[in-house]
Amino acid sequence: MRAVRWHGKLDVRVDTVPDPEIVNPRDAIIKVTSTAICGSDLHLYDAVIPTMQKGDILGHEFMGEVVDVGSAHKEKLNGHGLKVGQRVVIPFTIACGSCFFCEKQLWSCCDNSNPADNQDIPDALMGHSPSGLFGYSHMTGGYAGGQAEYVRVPFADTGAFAVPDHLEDEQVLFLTDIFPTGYMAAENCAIEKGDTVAIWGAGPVGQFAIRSAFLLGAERVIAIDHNPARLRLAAGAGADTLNFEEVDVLDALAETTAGRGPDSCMDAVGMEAHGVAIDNVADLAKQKMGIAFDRPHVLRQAIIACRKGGHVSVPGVYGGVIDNFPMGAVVNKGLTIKSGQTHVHRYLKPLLDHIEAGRIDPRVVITHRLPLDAAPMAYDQFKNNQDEFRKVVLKP
Amino acid sequence: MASSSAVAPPGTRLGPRQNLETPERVISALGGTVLGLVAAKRGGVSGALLGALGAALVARGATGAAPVKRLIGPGPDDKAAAKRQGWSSAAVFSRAVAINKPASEVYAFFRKFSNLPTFMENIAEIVETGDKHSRWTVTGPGGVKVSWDAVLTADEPGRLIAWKTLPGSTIENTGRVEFRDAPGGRGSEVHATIAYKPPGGTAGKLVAKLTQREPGIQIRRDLKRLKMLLETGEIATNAPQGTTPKS
Ligand SMILES: NC(=O)c1ccc[n+]([C@@H]2O[C@H](COP(=O)([O-])OP(=O)(O)OC[C@H]3O[C@@H](n4cnc5c(N)ncnc54)[C@H](O)[C@@H]3O)[C@@H](O)[C@H]2O)c1
Ligand SMILES: [Zn+2]
Ligand SMILES: [Zn+2]
Repeated sequence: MRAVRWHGKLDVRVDTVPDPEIVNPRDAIIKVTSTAICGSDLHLYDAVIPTMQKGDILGHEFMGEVVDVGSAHKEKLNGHGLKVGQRVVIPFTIACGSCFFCEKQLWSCCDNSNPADNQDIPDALMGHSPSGLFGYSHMTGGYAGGQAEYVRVPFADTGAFAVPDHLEDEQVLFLTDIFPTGYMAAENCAIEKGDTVAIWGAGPVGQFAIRSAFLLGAERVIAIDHNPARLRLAAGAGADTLNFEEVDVLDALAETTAGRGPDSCMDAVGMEAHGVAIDNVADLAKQKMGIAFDRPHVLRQAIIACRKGGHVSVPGVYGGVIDNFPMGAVVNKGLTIKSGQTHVHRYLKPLLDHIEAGRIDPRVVITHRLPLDAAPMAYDQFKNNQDEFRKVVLKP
Repeated sequence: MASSSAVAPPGTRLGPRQNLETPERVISALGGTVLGLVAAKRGGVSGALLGALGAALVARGATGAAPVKRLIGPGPDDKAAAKRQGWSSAAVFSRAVAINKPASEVYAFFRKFSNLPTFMENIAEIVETGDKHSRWTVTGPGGVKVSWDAVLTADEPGRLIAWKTLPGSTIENTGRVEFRDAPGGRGSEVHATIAYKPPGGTAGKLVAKLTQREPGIQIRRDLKRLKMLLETGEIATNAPQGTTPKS
């Protein structure tokens, strides 16, 4: 089959590789009909997430048709086996459904989906290992990803979610990651009536977060970015916008909230913040030298901007330890910080309902539909021409 | 009732976690900084990983907790085990895992020794040769197969299984696995302790560690695989994808 593989920093290629096969009883093999490139993939492309290996198949946002299932499905264990021919979306977080964390609906914290050997590094770096993820480095499983013609899906009886035929791929594809991610990030803002939510990053995650914040009752959403087309799309959803290249973000937020600050602040940017702020330039230097993974400029700014007693929600991905973290502001302003890889499984059904009811159209984020072979160009453009290339869907 | 520290197996004493003396903490932190600098020179992703491990070492230096310390010399548990077994030296490793199943069920699975190779990576085979006796075959460094005979020294249904090798075994070792219901009805806890007489003493241990065949890592991974098998019915793997074309 053809698959997008990571060969090193800024080097992805479409190669011919062996087809996947069923390994474990609860596996399924999916023939991919649509797969997307995520902002998270850019962190891999830029080689700022450790433990990638040359030849790893990328991609964690994918859907398709079940073409083979393991013995557990045939025996209909748990009463919900998959059938060949079903059309499904696959959560990017792999979860077993029966551990302490899965039972608590903390699917991205599943104990059992990251292979035992792959847990050594996260155990050492973070104290515990998160769940396995598709196509996202060896410390979260080393699983082959979904930017390919076929994918092996472990624990498919728990993860794969059947979608109705009257919805086209592009309406449901983002249930795999960015819609639930934006939604969970908005939930983590603990929005109350009358609230103002400030969201850094108007990328696909930010776009879903803006719309989700309104669905959850926000009075006002302020979107912060520097890409004009992304800000225009945010404005189209009803957000006020700030271009961080034109205004001082902290001043502008204070001004527009009459000094109180936004009730909640969301970092939908993550470890590769743009901009020439002095802390960001220092972080960039450390990242280039390889002594730091993260550039937490946005996170620091969100904490300083947030009103007293407010919530800071962090869907943006970070990988390591960060310097100059304003803990004093967190303590003295009584802030709550919430984060996480998304517990996708939790949101599949409720968000499908929002799509079916027409309360949100996920297609608005898409700018490009391309064949799988165009992946190297798409990665390059998504990184260097962000305003035009907002969301790329690949059709294997 | 929560268990008291008195029933904790060796190596899991519930005392303060800080086991590094101040000079060692300084060295650990310095080592971390050096790793950071090496990482800075290498750059790229392996550089960044080195950098992070360096940072983790700095953190160890700062907190004083150091599982890696055992590499450099025998700890109090090692010395106690050596004395108890009458060995020249001993290496003791212990690890616990929480399993979302009742202790009785976990015990029953474990008591059937022929089940152990399904989750213990290095154990090729265990044959029960008698009521209390079993013959173990392991795959050691370089794929060499080594066998020994073990005898049960304790067997308390739902609670405890312990064994030791017969005198004169190639690799002398003892094992003790305790099963407890976890507080709050949250499944069970498995506490495993393995003590063995390292081939070639401390040096052999280091070499084994470098080839990732060292029991401290092994016991941790094996317990995780036991947990996966009992909680999910299978053991997670990213196994290289096969080569047969799809039908
Ligand atoms: N938690 C999760 O489970 C999860 C899931 C998916 C994505 N993510 C993460 O969410 C983040 C966003 O993903 P995306 O797909 O939207 O990525 P993206 O790269 O398309 O968008 C990021 C946006 O942030 C903007 N930005 C950069 N610096 C900024 C600054 N200083 N202030 C304000 N805006 C700034 C960029 O201009 C860009 O528009 C990434 O870190 C990604 O890894 C997390
Ligand atoms: Zn994603
Ligand atoms: Zn789980």
